[in-house]
Amino acid sequence: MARRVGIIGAAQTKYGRKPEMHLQDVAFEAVQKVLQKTGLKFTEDGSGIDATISCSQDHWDGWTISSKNVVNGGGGHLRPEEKVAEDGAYALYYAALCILGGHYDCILVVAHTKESQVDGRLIENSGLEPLYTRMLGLDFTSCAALQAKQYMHTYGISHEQCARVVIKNRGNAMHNPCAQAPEILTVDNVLGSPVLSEPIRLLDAKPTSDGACALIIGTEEKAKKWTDKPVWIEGLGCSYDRHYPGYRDLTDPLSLKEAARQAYGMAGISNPRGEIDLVELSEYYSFQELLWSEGLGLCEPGQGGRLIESGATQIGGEIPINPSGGLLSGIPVNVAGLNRAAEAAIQLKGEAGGRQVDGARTAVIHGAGGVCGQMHCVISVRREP
Amino acid sequence: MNEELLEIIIPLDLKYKWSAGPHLGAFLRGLKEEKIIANRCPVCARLQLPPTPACGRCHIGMGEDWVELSHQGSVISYSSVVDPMFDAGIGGMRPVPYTIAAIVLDGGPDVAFFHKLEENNPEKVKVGMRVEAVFRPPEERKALMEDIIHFRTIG
Repeated sequence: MARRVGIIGAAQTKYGRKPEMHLQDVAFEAVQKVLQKTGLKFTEDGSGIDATISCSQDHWDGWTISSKNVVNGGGGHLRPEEKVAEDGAYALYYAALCILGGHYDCILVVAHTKESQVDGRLIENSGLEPLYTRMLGLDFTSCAALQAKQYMHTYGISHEQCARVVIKNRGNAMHNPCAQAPEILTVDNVLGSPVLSEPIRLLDAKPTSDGACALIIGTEEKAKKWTDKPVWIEGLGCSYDRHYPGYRDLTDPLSLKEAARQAYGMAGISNPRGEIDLVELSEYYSFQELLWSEGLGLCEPGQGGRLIESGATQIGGEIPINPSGGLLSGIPVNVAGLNRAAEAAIQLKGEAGGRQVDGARTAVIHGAGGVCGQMHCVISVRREP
Repeated sequence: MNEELLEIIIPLDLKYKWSAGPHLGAFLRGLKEEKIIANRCPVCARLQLPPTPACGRCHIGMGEDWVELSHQGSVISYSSVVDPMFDAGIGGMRPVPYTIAAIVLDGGPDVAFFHKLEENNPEKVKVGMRVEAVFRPPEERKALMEDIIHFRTIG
């Protein structure tokens, strides 16, 4: 990269249902926290934060141009504010490009969503093409169930292996003060939870969640000025596949492989499993952590089940995945990818407390969106030795 | 503060008039005539189901090379949906369980057609199972995906 982009600081709300808060309150809380943490302010003279890039979605907020919810509290009043409406990882991707392009030196990235204010299944149903698939009564969960079944059938992945993802992630969340649903679970708890869309059960899916996450990134100069522990963005990749899941081999996440190829290529990573210290990925459903591990090149296709069984992906293992607790511990859509970035930054700064991966220097951030993971964004980060 | 939560319910009931356009329109009109229609890319010759205006791989207009597909195929994945969901079409919760499936039609494109199965017992559904489309009687068809009631088990 011609310029270096550093993550200066990150902050989040506690995640969970927030009936007492307006959408603006939720976003404002995360912004206030990151400003306090970093000491940065919104300025017009180049001495502080130059611009705001947000992530939220009109349909979830029930209000078109949903970034209206961050104008006042997010530094958007009479200042540049732009919204990316896919996932928070894309907002970070875009913000990093704005700094690489030289237009801004310091950007606040903020994502918010209150899933609890609307029937999320109808939002997801309306995320499907209207004339062809929507009227079949599909939503993201039932489509993910088709993906899960095909993946499990093709590679002999067991439901117990998927349940181990839930157990690991909800257990990791015990050490995350922002997590919504920390819990010690057993395979029987997961396999005995109510079926949503076979083989996906209640505990295989991420819970309904509200919250916000905010990050401040800057040029090398800004990052070094405002933090002792900058986390450098070294690789960026994003890729979209066809929308209609019938067009895709759902067991082969091509757009994830492409996003990873771009990010690893830029960062000079040739052996991801050996060179990455931890991964924060977007598992909306338990089986997706296994499938996305394969797409990220952490194991061979079909080996995701063995990877979780080996213990390699636990905190203290060879390649910890979602030490934060992941999406299964309750992170809202849109916020999901930015939360992955925040958690990776917290890890590399050595501020992760009981969920800290010892000596972590490199991390991979993964955001996903769309039905059955249509699009993926991969960002690799590193701290100074 | 010890105030009651103030939460206000405001419905957002929008009706959209979607234009099917020439490509998806050909597919939907085909259903009314008991046909499942794909179109073929003039460059890579891949079939598109549903038919699309452009080939994503070749970045070219698909044209009107229509291909009629078999009504029979094989299930490559399925799911029994148990958690009910609101259905605007009936103004209430969708009856459960229903079984959705990804079906690869014989001689068709290497893509899956998503629809419902008649068989609602998950024990009796298998990957690789042979199925056939069951259409509504001609007078009940409306050029909608629902002109196919479901796929029934054959053989």
